[in-house]
This record gives sequence, structure tokens and C-alpha cells, in this order.
Amino acid sequence: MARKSGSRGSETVAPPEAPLARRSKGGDAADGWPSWAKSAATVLLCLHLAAVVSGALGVPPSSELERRVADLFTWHHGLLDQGYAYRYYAEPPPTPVVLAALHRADGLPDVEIRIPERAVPGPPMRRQRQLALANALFASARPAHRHDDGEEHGGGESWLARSYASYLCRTNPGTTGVTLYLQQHLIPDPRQVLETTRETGLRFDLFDESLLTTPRWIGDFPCDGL
Amino acid sequence: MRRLVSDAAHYLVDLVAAIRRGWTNFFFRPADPTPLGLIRIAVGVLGFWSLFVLGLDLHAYLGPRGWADAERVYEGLQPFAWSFWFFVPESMLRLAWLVCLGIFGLLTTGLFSRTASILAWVVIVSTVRRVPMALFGFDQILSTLALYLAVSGASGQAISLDRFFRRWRQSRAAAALPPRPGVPGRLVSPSEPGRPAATVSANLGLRLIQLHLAFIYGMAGLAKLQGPSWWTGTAIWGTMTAGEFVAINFTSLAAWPILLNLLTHASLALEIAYPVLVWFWLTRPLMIVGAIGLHLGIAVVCPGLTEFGLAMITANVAFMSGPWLRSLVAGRGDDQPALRVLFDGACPRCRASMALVTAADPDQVVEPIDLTAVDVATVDPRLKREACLKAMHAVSRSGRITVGFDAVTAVGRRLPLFWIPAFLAGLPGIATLGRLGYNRFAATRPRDVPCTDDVCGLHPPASSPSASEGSTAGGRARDLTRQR
Repeated sequence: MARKSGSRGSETVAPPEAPLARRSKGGDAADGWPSWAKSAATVLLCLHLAAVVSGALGVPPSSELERRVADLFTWHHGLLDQGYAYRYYAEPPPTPVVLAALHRADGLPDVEIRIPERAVPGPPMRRQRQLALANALFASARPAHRHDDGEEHGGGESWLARSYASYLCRTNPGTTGVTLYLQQHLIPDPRQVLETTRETGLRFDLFDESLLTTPRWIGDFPCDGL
Repeated sequence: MRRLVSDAAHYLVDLVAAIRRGWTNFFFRPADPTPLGLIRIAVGVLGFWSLFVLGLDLHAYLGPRGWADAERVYEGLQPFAWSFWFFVPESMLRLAWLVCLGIFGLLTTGLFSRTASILAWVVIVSTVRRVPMALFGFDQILSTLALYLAVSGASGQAISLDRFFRRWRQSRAAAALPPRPGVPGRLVSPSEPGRPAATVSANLGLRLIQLHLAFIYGMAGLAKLQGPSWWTGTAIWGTMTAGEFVAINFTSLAAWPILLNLLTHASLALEIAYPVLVWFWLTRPLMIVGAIGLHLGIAVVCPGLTEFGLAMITANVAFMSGPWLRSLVAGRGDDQPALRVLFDGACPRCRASMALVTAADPDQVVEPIDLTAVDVATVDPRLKREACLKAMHAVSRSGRITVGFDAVTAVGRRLPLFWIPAFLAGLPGIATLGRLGYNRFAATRPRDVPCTDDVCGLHPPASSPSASEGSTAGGRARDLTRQR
């Protein structure tokens, strides 16, 4: 009835070679699976592990060799949703923010929408998704140039920005057009924080104007053209 | 020269043989499926929650004309990528979303586990492909865990309703059997062993998660070495004062640069050391505790990353020992049975109730004792047979005796499957009603007619093979009487 418990640390956490395992008498344990199944599984395991490693290494910065190997497993990355780089927070960056100005047909002042919103009702994950959206818009919107004729030129055509603007047009009746801007929310310098705190005697405001860059225009999107 | 060549050849032969042996031992050795069962539950809950949150802006994220136009996303898919969300019409979106939530519900509870794990992976990957503009690390980890649950097919081997229902069928069959000659007391236990058997498929799933997790930490650590702030010890400052992410203002830490340096270097050291030290049993607990601390810390600083942290902690469960995990809930082996329950073996309903208990008690925390087959005073001198026949009695290891409805709730509190009902049953009002109901049930319960002649002494054959097995292998009541 009682479970058997060891007397050392291995009781709480499994040893590396055989976590949780039942060792067979021969030591070379492979109970249960026939040889052909093990061989087939071995081939699949090798393929999968190679695809995972190459997918992570093939992301820039990477060598020509790493990229070529990663390209061999494009099918795997597409099929199984693998091939991520896992390079989380290699350097904490400023946070992108998207500002949308909705122009009203009734002549009322523009309505401004911020992504991410300052306060999103509901669970924090909902706001985290908005942060991801802002990041994607930032990554997809290369600087566009608005010429005198009012048209966009250069590499600024971002389908995601256009799609987002189109969504705003549809979900906000009375909107004639949307102008999108990108802004960066900077990380404060510790010295600046100390100085400000010393001067004001107040806690430093992380939404201080000095931390928000000047909004960069990324496109005008008339609603009737979307 | 010849010796040099032959030694090199021998070395290569030995090397290949060692790799082969090591590979086989690493991947194809049976392992306890308990950690995989826990990972399944966590993935189910996290997948449910993630989809639920997306559902708050359902049409914006998953609708054909949402934030990211479905056609453009579809055109931009990488080769071989797929998603069913592209084919769901707007009018059916909410229904499809509900069905997907249901799939995560099945995965969480472990009902139709194999099918549910595959479907859950399909839902996760489909969602990832549909909303590439709204993803973060959490989605990558969840997708990876779901993939391994699906391909191993072993996630329902432990802590699942699949297993519970199978054991319940067995225990009910055993409880329905007539008394067997020479076996004192009635059998109410499933025929299969309590703790789940170790399997190769469970090991494969766990190994893949372990390897992938070590690789993720390694890649994250190596990538950080490219960032100057990780060398200057200020990276943590950057994450703790990113205004869009944080919920608490940590700027007062600017006056504590050494602390910030320490936190930065410790985080980096953990991520670099993890892929190596997690494989040694002595350092493994340090790595796991460190990783849990890191992710909980991130969750406190950036609440939006709580689910990411939980997904990473879930993956770390793959490195934990199944027996140890079970002991966290069931207690240590030498503490068992935690509760001894005297039931009326002549009462079919009582046997059926105990069959339910034993099915939900794979760790055998509760020991059912058929009071018609034992002298109850041997269980506890304070017990009287007449009182035990009136209502169920439970005796805890500390000697506390609970009776009737309170004994039922005491049993429920010992078994995770019944924790919620037991908690509810303990609430004022419900407890009073429960006691009334129980007493009424106990007073009017039917009992088997005592066998007084040779005719009723002729036993019919066992109704099923599993029941027959149960009678020879699984009867805990019989075991107890033998002990005494």
C-alpha cells in the first residue's frame, strides 16, 4: 500500500538518466517497444530535434550555414509551429505604442485610440496581446514618406497597418479616415530617475512625457479606400 | 601506426555503442506518467484561459475582417503552415470558439485524453497562425507543450478522468461480485494497480519537453550575452521600469544599483547554467527552484507575462519525479493509509460508494474495511459494531473518528477529485442538510439478504474478466484482514 520513498534527494526530484523510471534487469532498458518502433521513433526524434535547433539558430544574427540548414526544415516549422528563436529580452527595448487618430465625418474633433490602451478592462493578458499588436505594427511599418501630393511613397506600405485602420473604420461608424502614428515608450535612465526624485520629492512617473518619443506618422488611411 | 588506427577504430566502435546505449536508455525507458498528467492539466487550463481572453475581442482577433485581415494573413503564411480559423465564417466564430474551449475542457479533465490532446494542439497552432500579430513567448511555449502531449499520447495515463472511469468500472464490477469463499469481506477496489504504470510513451513526452526546455533556457541565456545591459547589470532595471509592462512602480530601485546588478547577473547565470545543471540530480532542484522564482518574479513585475511564467513553470514539471509529485497530495508512503473507513459490506449502495472512493484513490490514501468481516475493535477500540452499522465511520491516522456525513466529507477531503464537493459539503447549512440526508439514507439503505441455506450459497460465475481479476489482485479489504 505504501509508496516506497528513497532516503536522499533523488526522492524529490528524479535523477537525470532515469527520471521516474523503472529500470529493467538488463540495464539496457527498452521494455515495451519493438526494435522497429524504436528505430522509427529515433529517425523522427533526430529530424525533430534538428529542426528545433536549426530553427532557433537560423534567425539573424546567424551564419550562412545556419540559415541554409534552417531552410531545410521550413516544412517542419510550418507544419508543427516550431522553429522559434527563443531570444527573449536579449536587450530590453523601448516599447512601441500605436496611436490612431480617427477623423470624424461630423466635423467633431478626432478620436484618439492608443494601442496598448493605458488601462484595458479584464485580465492583464488582454493588454499583453495589445502590446504584441503594437509591436507587430511597429515591426511591419517601415518609415513611409508622405510627399506633397499626399500619397505614401517608399517602403511604408504595411498591410497590417492598413488592415488595422480598416478595422477601426468599420467598428467606429462616422469615421472618414484613420491616421496612424508610432511612438516609443522609453526606459528611464536611473540617474534621471534619481535626479527627478531628488528635485520633486515624488516618485518618478513612468508615463512622464520625457519617456515618450514624438509620434512618427506611418500612414493616412481613408475609410472609403479600405 | 597500425596500433594507432586500430585504437582509433576501437574508440569509435565504443563511442557509437555508448551513444546508442545512452540514446535508448534516455528515450525508450518507461517513466511515470504523473508529471505528464500534470502538464496536461496546466496546458488545458492555460489554453482555455488564453482562448477565453482572445474571445473578449473575438472578432478583432479571429474574425475574417479583424485587426489583421484574414486573407492577408493567409497569404503570408509560411510554407506548410495551416489554420482552421481561416475557414470559419464570421457567423460561426462564436460557436467555433466555444467548441475550442470545450476541447481545452476535455484536455484539462483528461476525458478522451488522446483525442483531446491532438485537437487542443490543432486549436493552439491554428490560433497562432491566425493571429501572428498578437503573439508573445507564452504562445510558443504552449504550442510546444501541446505538441508533445499530442505526439506522446500518454498525457491521460495519469490524473485523468479517462483513468478514473476505467478504474471505477473495475471497482464497481468487483463490488457487484458475490462474496468469495475464503475471502473475508467484500472487494471494492479496481483490478489495476493504484499508481499508473510507467510507460515508454510517457518517457518520450517528458524527455522531449525536458530537452526543449533546456534548449529554450540555453538560447535565451546565450542571446542575452549579446545585450550590453546584461553585462553592465542593468537589464533588470529595463524590465522593471518599462512603463507599458509593469504594474508596480519600481523606480525607487534606482537607489539600489548593486541589487539590480545582482538580479541581472543571477537571472543570466540561471539561464546559462540551467541546460547543464538541470541534468544532475543534485543541482536539479536548485535549477527548478531558480526557474520558478525567476518566472514568478517576472509575473509580479509584468502581470501580462503571468501566463508565460506559468507555462514555463509547467514545462519544468517534466523534470520532477512522479512519486514525489504524488506524495505532495497523497502524503508519504509510510503515512498511509491516512484514513480507514468502515463500510457495510452487506449493503450494495455502500459497496458502490466505496467503489467510487477506491477508483478516485490511486494512492490508496483511504483504506476501506468491510465491517461485516472484521472485529471493528481491532481497527480502533472505541468503535462499536452497532454504531458502525448505523453510519459510516472513518478513523484518521491521528486517531480522530468521524461519523456519517462528516466521515464522507473527511474522505472527500483526502481525494483531489472530490476536493471541491468536500469543501462545499463543509459549508454551514449544506453540512446540516447533508447530515440529515445521510442519516435518512443510512437508515433506509437496503442490505443483502443473509444466506441461510445451501441454495443461495451457490455463487454465479464472475460477471466479467476484469471483475474476476479484481477479486484476486485488487481487494484492499481482504488485504487488511489478512494483515490483522
